Amino acid sequence: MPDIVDRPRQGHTSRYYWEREHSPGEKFIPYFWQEAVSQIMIMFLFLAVVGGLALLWPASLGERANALVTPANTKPEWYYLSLFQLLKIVPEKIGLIVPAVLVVLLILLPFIDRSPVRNPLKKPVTTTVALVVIVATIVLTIWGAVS
Amino acid sequence: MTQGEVGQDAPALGRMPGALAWVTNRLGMEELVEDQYNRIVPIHATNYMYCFGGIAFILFLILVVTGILLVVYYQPTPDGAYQSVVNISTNVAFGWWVRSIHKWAATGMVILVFVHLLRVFFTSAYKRPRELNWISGVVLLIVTMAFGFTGYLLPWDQKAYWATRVGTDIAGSTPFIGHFLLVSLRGGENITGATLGRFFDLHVLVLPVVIVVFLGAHFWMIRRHGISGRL
Repeated sequence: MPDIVDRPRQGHTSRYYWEREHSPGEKFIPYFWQEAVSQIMIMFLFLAVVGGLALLWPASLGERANALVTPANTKPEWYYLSLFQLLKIVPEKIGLIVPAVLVVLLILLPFIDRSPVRNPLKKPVTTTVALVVIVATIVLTIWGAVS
Repeated sequence: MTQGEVGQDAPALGRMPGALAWVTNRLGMEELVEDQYNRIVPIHATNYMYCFGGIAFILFLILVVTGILLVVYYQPTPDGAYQSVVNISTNVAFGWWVRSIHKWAATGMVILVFVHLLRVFFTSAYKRPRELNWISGVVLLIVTMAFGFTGYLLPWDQKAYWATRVGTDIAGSTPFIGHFLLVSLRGGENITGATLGRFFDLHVLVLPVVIVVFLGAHFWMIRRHGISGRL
């Protein structure tokens, strides 16, 4: 078993904000080497996963680009599908404004939600808005993929 | 402060291999390195929910290595691009595998950046004092998406060409600045070698510099703020 440390270390690290965030009695472990080793193992696992996926399903290459031949069904990469599908079903202006507003809200989030409440179940408004956006994105992505 | 009261308070330099301690001393970075060497992690943060950002970073490193290998054989011209990707996929030793790993790691990085965002969101880890780290994270998300968009054109096949055409058309429909955006992205009215050139430039020069700067800021702030407390 690794050493378990009872508190953030004292001294010059007291400049850290987080010392007062952690509840009393919370335990810490040293990063070196117990936590570092598990991270290194996860790293190798993901190297193997990516290498294996590439082995099983290599990247494809279609016909050479041709400006004169329009393919039947042009689709963007999957992570742009939700935006693409949104633009298909709503007027263009709205389809551009909605994602732009979402990005601005995302950037400003820490200044909009300033309450110290951190449990998602205890701040229903933020959580509900987030869930609606997540579900809408997933639905639009699937819709875009099958249409 | 009483040194050595808790095991972790022991000066790190004394526990380091001599050569590392020497380099650290000559660089004048004892305090910084000592901080990292003595790092502690709250036990709630050793949960697997807290590893998505790290995995996204691992995938980024895989993308750097495979990207460097691909650039060796890739030619960013309309005549050369497609043929060079065919060459990578058929002639170059393990070229097809390197290219496929690049593709899969890119997909994985996008997924994990989003999942990491959701974890940070639902644990409210963006709150004071981590506002700026959240914003740097949103920038990293946008940069990751831009990497995907620019990289998709590079093989210069039909899918690449037409996806870019549709994508830049969407940018072109932005009110007021739409046409300017479209011409800036394409390097003209149409998708040509000029488009390929600037997408290549963005993908292998501009965006890598931007992402390294923001990753540096992101990680620096994590070290400074520590991992947020238990819910």
